[in-house]
Amino acid sequence: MKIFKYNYTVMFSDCDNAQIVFYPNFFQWFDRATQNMFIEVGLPWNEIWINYDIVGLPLVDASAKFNKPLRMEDEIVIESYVEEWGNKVWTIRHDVKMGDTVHVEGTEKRVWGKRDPDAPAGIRAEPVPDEVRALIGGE
Amino acid sequence: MLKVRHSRVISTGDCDPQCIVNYPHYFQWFDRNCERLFKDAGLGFPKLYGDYAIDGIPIIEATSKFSRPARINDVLEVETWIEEWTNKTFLVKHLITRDGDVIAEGQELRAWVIKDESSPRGIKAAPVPEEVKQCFN
Repeated sequence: MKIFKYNYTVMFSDCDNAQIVFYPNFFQWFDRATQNMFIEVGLPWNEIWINYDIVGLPLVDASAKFNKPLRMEDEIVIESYVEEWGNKVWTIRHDVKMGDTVHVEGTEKRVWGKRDPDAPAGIRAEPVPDEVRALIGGE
Repeated sequence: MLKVRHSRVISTGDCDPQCIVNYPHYFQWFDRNCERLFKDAGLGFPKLYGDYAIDGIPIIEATSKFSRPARINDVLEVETWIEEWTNKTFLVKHLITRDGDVIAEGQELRAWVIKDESSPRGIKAAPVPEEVKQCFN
Protein backbone atom coordinates (compact mmCIF):
# COMPACT_ATOMS: atom_id res chain seq x y z
CA MET A 1 0.00 0.00 0.00
CA LYS A 2 1.33 3.39 -0.95
CA ILE A 3 0.82 6.38 1.37
CA PHE A 4 0.82 9.82 -0.23
CA LYS A 5 1.59 12.97 1.73
CA TYR A 6 0.15 16.42 1.20
CA ASN A 7 1.59 19.25 3.32
CA TYR A 8 -0.37 22.35 4.23
CA THR A 9 -0.20 25.28 6.65
CA VAL A 10 -3.60 26.26 8.01
CA MET A 11 -4.43 29.81 6.94
CA PHE A 12 -6.51 32.60 8.49
CA SER A 13 -9.26 32.16 5.90
CA ASP A 14 -9.60 28.43 6.64
CA CYS A 15 -10.91 29.23 10.12
CA ASP A 16 -14.29 30.29 11.49
CA ASN A 17 -15.21 32.60 14.33
CA ALA A 18 -14.29 29.94 16.88
CA GLN A 19 -10.70 30.29 15.57
CA ILE A 20 -10.69 26.70 14.37
CA VAL A 21 -10.82 25.22 10.87
CA PHE A 22 -14.35 25.41 9.43
CA TYR A 23 -15.11 21.72 8.90
CA PRO A 24 -16.20 21.71 5.21
CA ASN A 25 -12.69 22.88 4.37
CA PHE A 26 -11.35 19.47 5.36
CA PHE A 27 -13.34 17.94 2.52
CA GLN A 28 -11.77 20.37 0.07
CA TRP A 29 -8.38 19.23 1.32
CA PHE A 30 -9.38 15.58 0.95
CA ASP A 31 -10.36 16.28 -2.64
CA ARG A 32 -7.02 18.01 -3.27
CA ALA A 33 -5.09 15.22 -1.57
CA THR A 34 -6.79 12.72 -3.87
CA GLN A 35 -5.91 14.77 -6.93
CA ASN A 36 -2.35 15.00 -5.60
CA MET A 37 -2.14 11.17 -5.46
CA PHE A 38 -2.83 11.05 -9.18
CA ILE A 39 -0.37 13.85 -9.95
CA GLU A 40 2.38 12.10 -8.00
CA VAL A 41 2.08 8.89 -10.01
CA GLY A 42 1.99 10.68 -13.35
CA LEU A 43 -1.77 10.56 -13.91
CA PRO A 44 -2.83 14.22 -13.82
CA TRP A 45 -6.59 14.58 -14.04
CA ASN A 46 -6.58 16.87 -17.07
CA GLU A 47 -4.84 14.10 -19.01
CA ILE A 48 -6.65 11.01 -17.74
CA TRP A 49 -10.05 12.56 -18.36
CA ILE A 50 -9.15 12.74 -22.04
CA ASN A 51 -7.05 9.57 -22.31
CA TYR A 52 -9.67 7.37 -20.63
CA ASP A 53 -12.72 9.34 -21.80
CA ILE A 54 -14.02 9.77 -18.25
CA VAL A 55 -16.01 12.63 -16.79
CA GLY A 56 -14.13 12.47 -13.54
CA LEU A 57 -13.98 10.50 -10.31
CA PRO A 58 -17.25 11.54 -8.66
CA LEU A 59 -18.03 10.95 -5.02
CA VAL A 60 -20.73 8.60 -3.83
CA ASP A 61 -19.98 9.06 -0.14
CA ALA A 62 -17.74 11.19 2.06
CA SER A 63 -17.24 11.18 5.80
CA ALA A 64 -14.97 12.55 8.48
CA LYS A 65 -14.41 12.13 12.20
CA PHE A 66 -13.13 15.24 13.91
CA ASN A 67 -10.96 14.27 16.86
CA LYS A 68 -9.16 17.54 17.59
CA PRO A 69 -9.48 21.04 16.15
CA LEU A 70 -6.81 22.75 14.06
CA ARG A 71 -5.93 26.43 14.08
CA MET A 72 -4.22 29.07 11.99
CA GLU A 73 -0.50 28.38 11.38
CA ASP A 74 -0.80 24.70 12.28
CA GLU A 75 1.42 22.73 9.94
CA ILE A 76 -0.38 19.60 8.88
CA VAL A 77 0.21 16.58 6.70
CA ILE A 78 -2.63 14.74 5.02
CA GLU A 79 -1.68 11.08 4.60
CA SER A 80 -3.81 9.45 1.92
CA TYR A 81 -4.10 5.94 0.58
CA VAL A 82 -6.62 3.66 -1.07
CA GLU A 83 -8.08 1.57 1.70
CA GLU A 84 -10.16 -0.66 -0.53
CA TRP A 85 -10.60 -1.23 -4.23
CA GLY A 86 -14.14 -2.43 -4.72
CA ASN A 87 -15.43 -3.52 -8.07
CA LYS A 88 -16.77 -0.09 -8.91
CA VAL A 89 -16.58 1.93 -5.69
CA TRP A 90 -13.16 2.51 -4.14
CA THR A 91 -12.39 4.04 -0.75
CA ILE A 92 -9.67 6.57 -0.07
CA ARG A 93 -8.57 7.16 3.47
CA HIS A 94 -7.23 10.57 4.56
CA ASP A 95 -5.55 11.09 7.94
CA VAL A 96 -4.99 14.74 8.81
CA LYS A 97 -2.01 14.75 11.14
CA MET A 98 -0.01 17.29 13.07
CA GLY A 99 3.09 15.54 14.35
CA ASP A 100 1.98 12.05 15.29
CA THR A 101 -1.53 13.09 16.28
CA VAL A 102 -4.40 12.34 13.93
CA HIS A 103 -6.76 15.31 14.14
CA VAL A 104 -9.25 14.27 11.48
CA GLU A 105 -9.95 10.88 9.88
CA GLY A 106 -11.66 11.11 6.52
CA THR A 107 -12.87 8.77 3.82
CA GLU A 108 -14.00 9.38 0.29
CA LYS A 109 -15.81 6.75 -1.77
CA ARG A 110 -15.45 7.43 -5.46
CA VAL A 111 -16.24 5.86 -8.80
CA TRP A 112 -14.44 5.84 -12.14
CA GLY A 113 -17.01 7.90 -14.02
CA LYS A 114 -17.27 6.89 -17.65
CA ARG A 115 -19.09 9.17 -20.06
CA ASP A 116 -22.45 7.61 -20.96
CA PRO A 117 -25.05 9.57 -22.94
CA ASP A 118 -27.65 6.87 -22.13
CA ALA A 119 -27.20 7.01 -18.34
CA PRO A 120 -29.51 9.30 -16.32
CA ALA A 121 -26.80 11.76 -15.39
CA GLY A 122 -24.49 10.99 -18.30
CA ILE A 123 -22.13 9.10 -16.00
CA ARG A 124 -21.63 5.34 -15.69
CA ALA A 125 -19.48 3.80 -12.94
CA GLU A 126 -16.85 1.38 -14.25
CA PRO A 127 -14.02 -0.56 -12.61
CA VAL A 128 -10.80 1.40 -12.28
CA PRO A 129 -8.34 0.23 -14.99
CA ASP A 130 -5.72 -2.20 -13.68
CA GLU A 131 -2.76 0.02 -14.53
CA VAL A 132 -4.27 2.94 -12.62
CA ARG A 133 -4.94 0.73 -9.59
CA ALA A 134 -1.37 -0.54 -9.72
CA LEU A 135 0.13 2.96 -9.75
CA ILE A 136 -2.10 4.43 -7.02
CA GLY A 137 -2.02 1.27 -4.91
CA GLY A 138 1.74 0.93 -5.07
CA GLU A 139 1.34 -2.61 -6.40
CA MET B 1 -40.52 18.08 14.66
CA LEU B 2 -39.10 21.39 13.54
CA LYS B 3 -37.65 21.33 10.04
CA VAL B 4 -36.06 24.07 8.03
CA ARG B 5 -36.18 24.21 4.24
CA HIS B 6 -33.97 26.40 2.14
CA SER B 7 -33.73 26.50 -1.62
CA ARG B 8 -30.66 27.51 -3.54
CA VAL B 9 -29.86 27.90 -7.21
CA ILE B 10 -26.58 26.34 -8.27
CA SER B 11 -24.22 28.94 -9.65
CA THR B 12 -20.91 28.69 -11.46
CA GLY B 13 -18.85 29.11 -8.30
CA ASP B 14 -20.49 25.98 -6.83
CA CYS B 15 -19.29 23.79 -9.71
CA ASP B 16 -16.03 22.12 -10.64
CA PRO B 17 -14.49 22.04 -14.15
CA GLN B 18 -16.71 19.07 -15.03
CA CYS B 19 -19.71 21.35 -14.41
CA ILE B 20 -21.10 19.45 -11.43
CA VAL B 21 -21.24 20.67 -7.84
CA ASN B 22 -17.90 20.28 -6.08
CA TYR B 23 -18.82 18.02 -3.18
CA PRO B 24 -17.36 19.95 -0.20
CA HIS B 25 -19.97 22.63 -0.89
CA TYR B 26 -22.68 20.26 0.31
CA PHE B 27 -21.09 20.27 3.75
CA GLN B 28 -21.09 24.07 3.77
CA TRP B 29 -24.81 23.99 3.00
CA PHE B 30 -25.37 21.43 5.77
CA ASP B 31 -23.59 23.70 8.23
CA ARG B 32 -25.54 26.78 7.16
CA ASN B 33 -28.86 25.00 7.33
CA CYS B 34 -28.03 23.76 10.82
CA GLU B 35 -27.47 27.38 11.83
CA ARG B 36 -30.79 28.33 10.16
CA LEU B 37 -32.55 25.55 12.06
CA PHE B 38 -31.35 26.96 15.38
CA LYS B 39 -32.43 30.43 14.30
CA ASP B 40 -35.90 29.16 13.36
CA ALA B 41 -36.09 27.47 16.75
CA GLY B 42 -35.61 30.88 18.35
CA LEU B 43 -32.05 29.98 19.30
CA GLY B 44 -29.92 32.08 16.97
CA PHE B 45 -26.24 31.65 17.68
CA PRO B 46 -25.78 35.07 19.36
CA LYS B 47 -28.58 34.13 21.80
CA LEU B 48 -27.15 30.64 22.35
CA TYR B 49 -23.70 31.99 23.11
CA GLY B 50 -25.16 34.59 25.47
CA ASP B 51 -27.95 32.76 27.29
CA TYR B 52 -26.35 29.33 27.59
CA ALA B 53 -22.64 30.24 27.77
CA ILE B 54 -21.89 27.73 25.07
CA ASP B 55 -18.59 27.70 23.26
CA GLY B 56 -20.21 26.33 20.12
CA ILE B 57 -21.82 23.17 18.82
CA PRO B 58 -18.69 21.61 17.33
CA ILE B 59 -18.79 18.85 14.79
CA ILE B 60 -17.74 15.34 15.83
CA GLU B 61 -18.55 13.49 12.66
CA ALA B 62 -19.97 14.45 9.25
CA THR B 63 -21.06 12.11 6.49
CA SER B 64 -22.89 12.38 3.21
CA LYS B 65 -24.08 10.11 0.45
CA PHE B 66 -24.22 11.56 -3.02
CA SER B 67 -26.88 10.00 -5.25
CA ARG B 68 -26.92 12.28 -8.30
CA PRO B 69 -24.79 15.16 -9.53
CA ALA B 70 -26.21 18.68 -9.49
CA ARG B 71 -25.42 21.23 -12.19
CA ILE B 72 -25.58 24.94 -12.85
CA ASN B 73 -29.06 26.52 -12.56
CA ASP B 74 -30.46 23.48 -10.73
CA VAL B 75 -32.74 24.51 -7.88
CA LEU B 76 -31.92 22.43 -4.82
CA GLU B 77 -34.03 22.13 -1.69
CA VAL B 78 -32.07 21.62 1.50
CA GLU B 79 -34.15 20.22 4.35
CA THR B 80 -32.72 19.93 7.85
CA TRP B 81 -33.91 18.60 11.20
CA ILE B 82 -32.57 17.11 14.41
CA GLU B 83 -33.04 13.37 14.23
CA GLU B 84 -31.86 12.37 17.68
CA TRP B 85 -30.76 13.86 21.00
CA THR B 86 -28.34 11.98 23.19
CA ASN B 87 -27.09 13.34 26.48
CA LYS B 88 -24.31 15.65 25.24
CA THR B 89 -24.61 15.23 21.49
CA PHE B 90 -27.24 15.47 18.78
CA LEU B 91 -27.62 14.19 15.24
CA VAL B 92 -28.56 16.68 12.54
CA LYS B 93 -29.95 15.25 9.30
CA HIS B 94 -29.95 16.92 5.90
CA LEU B 95 -31.78 15.97 2.74
CA ILE B 96 -31.00 17.70 -0.55
CA THR B 97 -33.45 17.19 -3.41
CA ARG B 98 -34.06 18.49 -6.92
CA ASP B 99 -37.68 18.22 -8.11
CA GLY B 100 -38.19 15.51 -5.51
CA ASP B 101 -35.16 13.44 -6.57
CA VAL B 102 -32.59 12.87 -3.84
CA ILE B 103 -29.24 14.50 -4.60
CA ALA B 104 -27.50 14.08 -1.24
CA GLU B 105 -28.27 12.76 2.24
CA GLY B 106 -26.06 14.08 5.00
CA GLN B 107 -25.72 13.96 8.72
CA GLU B 108 -23.74 15.86 11.31
CA LEU B 109 -23.06 14.63 14.82
CA ARG B 110 -22.50 17.66 17.03
CA ALA B 111 -21.74 18.25 20.69
CA TRP B 112 -23.11 20.79 23.16
CA VAL B 113 -20.01 22.48 24.52
CA ILE B 114 -19.97 25.07 27.29
CA LYS B 115 -17.31 27.28 28.83
CA ASP B 116 -15.79 25.78 31.96
CA GLU B 117 -12.99 27.62 33.75
CA SER B 118 -12.12 24.58 35.87
CA SER B 119 -11.34 22.26 32.95
CA PRO B 120 -7.87 22.32 31.36
CA ARG B 121 -9.08 23.52 27.96
CA GLY B 122 -11.62 25.97 29.38
CA ILE B 123 -14.52 24.11 27.79
CA LYS B 124 -16.42 20.87 28.29
CA ALA B 125 -19.22 18.89 26.68
CA ALA B 126 -22.40 19.20 28.73
CA PRO B 127 -25.94 17.79 28.66
CA VAL B 128 -28.22 19.69 26.29
CA PRO B 129 -30.73 21.67 28.41
CA GLU B 130 -34.28 20.30 28.19
CA GLU B 131 -35.73 23.69 27.20
CA VAL B 132 -33.34 23.77 24.24
CA LYS B 133 -34.56 20.39 23.03
CA GLN B 134 -38.18 21.53 23.43
CA CYS B 135 -37.59 24.34 20.92
CA PHE B 136 -37.17 21.74 18.16
CA ASN B 137 -40.45 19.88 18.74
